[in-house]
Amino acid sequence: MVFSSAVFLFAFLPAVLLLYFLPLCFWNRRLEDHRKNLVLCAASLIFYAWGEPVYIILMLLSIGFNFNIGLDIERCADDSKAKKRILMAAVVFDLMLLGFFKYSNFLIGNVNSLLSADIPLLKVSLPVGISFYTFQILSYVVDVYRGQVKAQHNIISFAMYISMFPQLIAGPIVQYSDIEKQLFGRRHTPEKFLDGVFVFIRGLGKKVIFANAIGAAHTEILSGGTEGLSAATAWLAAICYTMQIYFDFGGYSDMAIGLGRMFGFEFMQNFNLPYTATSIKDFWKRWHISLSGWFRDYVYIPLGGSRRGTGRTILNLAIVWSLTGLWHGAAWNFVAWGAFYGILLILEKYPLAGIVPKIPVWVRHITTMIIVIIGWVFFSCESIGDAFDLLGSMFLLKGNAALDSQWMYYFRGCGFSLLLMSLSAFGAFAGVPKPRNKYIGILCSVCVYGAIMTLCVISLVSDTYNPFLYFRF
Amino acid sequence: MNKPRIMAIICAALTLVFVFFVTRDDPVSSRTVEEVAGQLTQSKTFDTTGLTLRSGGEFKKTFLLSAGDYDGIVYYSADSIMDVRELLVIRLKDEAQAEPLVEVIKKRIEDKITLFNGYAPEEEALLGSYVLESSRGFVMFAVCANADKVLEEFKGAL
Repeated sequence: MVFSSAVFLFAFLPAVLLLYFLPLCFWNRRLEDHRKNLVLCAASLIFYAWGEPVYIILMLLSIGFNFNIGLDIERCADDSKAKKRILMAAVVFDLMLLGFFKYSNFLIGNVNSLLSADIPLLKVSLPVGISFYTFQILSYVVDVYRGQVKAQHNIISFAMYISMFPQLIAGPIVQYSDIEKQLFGRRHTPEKFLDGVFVFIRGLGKKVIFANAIGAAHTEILSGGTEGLSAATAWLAAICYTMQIYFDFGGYSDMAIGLGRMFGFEFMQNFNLPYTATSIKDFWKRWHISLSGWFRDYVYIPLGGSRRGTGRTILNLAIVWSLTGLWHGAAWNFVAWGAFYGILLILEKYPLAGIVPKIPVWVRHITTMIIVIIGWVFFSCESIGDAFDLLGSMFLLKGNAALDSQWMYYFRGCGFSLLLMSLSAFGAFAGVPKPRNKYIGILCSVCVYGAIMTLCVISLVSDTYNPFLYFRF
Repeated sequence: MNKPRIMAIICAALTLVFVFFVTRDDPVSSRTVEEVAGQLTQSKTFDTTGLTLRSGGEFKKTFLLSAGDYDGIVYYSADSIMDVRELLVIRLKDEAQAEPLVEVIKKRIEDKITLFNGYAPEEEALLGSYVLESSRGFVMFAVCANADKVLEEFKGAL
């Protein structure tokens, strides 16, 4: 089930909200919290089972395993060796599961290519959301091991944390330490709920109105392959994808945050106007913040971060960025994409450290944007060969024309959308003043978000092109 | 051994059993999409006379899906609007691609049946007898007079 589907918007969500807010245990606050968690947990499992009726079993077993691991680690609090052994067993088991489902066929394919072997591929499909919920699980067991959080003794609450439907499929990756206190006693207010509704609709609008439209344009431009594309058309395709992925994933994150708020949770911000970044480091502080934070807290810093000298820092950055690339997909183009950013960050951190700050901000901004657009080429293409093919067209390396009538045709179709999306991505709408009167402000918001919702519903009814790009990760 | 550890071991063991059952049977066919489609067309089970082998771009325009998302596609269709025969064979990269792909094809064939409804009964009937099969890492879709035989041949070709 996807958030931008009629069944979710008009059946699942209203039903869950109704059950969630029915004050069936109003006389006992603690009991009411338990009941709310149970409703949310059950709804999340139904939400997941809707699309993955088989792999729900895998998730439940994973929940059972890690719940007990948490308790076992807590029980061995005074025996550091035993505690470490349990942690290692859990981390290896969780990563092996992720590795098996996500990377086994990638590995077999590469072995077959290298050794001209004919090992049959396994019949495995990637369980939706496994990359996200495995990382949440790891954050839990590691935090319990570090003593940063107490082990969760209520399996319903733990299952709810892992499977919570607003962020189960495509994040944000919620670290247990961030949400522990919200599992019980979270506040529900009409203002918070309404704000959640607005954030959700904003995300839906980003996805349905912007991302789907520009995604269709990107598909159309590249439908005939890259052969004969002028440089301008190739750049237009890359820019369309740059906008599509931001509004698609950013829209999903907004929807997740909005839904979370409706249910009383405060999830971390996952995007902070990433296309306004003035350096690659700045970009990664603003893009998919929850993933960058996870790699920082659970890989980069434990490896020593930047505290062990230049050589070790470079190695740590290389490891983190190779893993970031691989996390996104079992294909070499994702590894290349991760390596691309790893190299750029190392360059920014060392040889260019003294130069970058002296460059005018607008130059840094444009350079960062160009680099990001090039990065998305690796990300959007199915193979490294395809990526270099498109890059060849973008940089006139294939003997192609710089500009042609085809570009004008496509630009007429998507130029206005691109302009609107660029304004939004660069934060132009963020500074729109709000009315001073609270009630007029709410009324204005209701009108604006009501209009966005109406547009989304019209689009959803008439459009079948509706994929979420980050689902496959 | 304490209770949480026993429970964790049980969950881990059950997970391994689950993984074994999920991956146990019906392995992905090692044949290429060209080999499978070739067997259907060369044996004349699916007659391609009057049909054109389409490019990835034409596939994308027809189904709004990127050919690059799959391990390989072979797509035949007719130039004439009134000739509804089609053959599509796709080798998937991932089993999870099967369900959405089948949905897209079903939706398209339903739309096409609606289009022919009322004025081209023969074409409508031919469209209604389509076969759509997902098996062993492949999806096959065919519209032709002997669609059932094509389905049999496809299963044998995997």
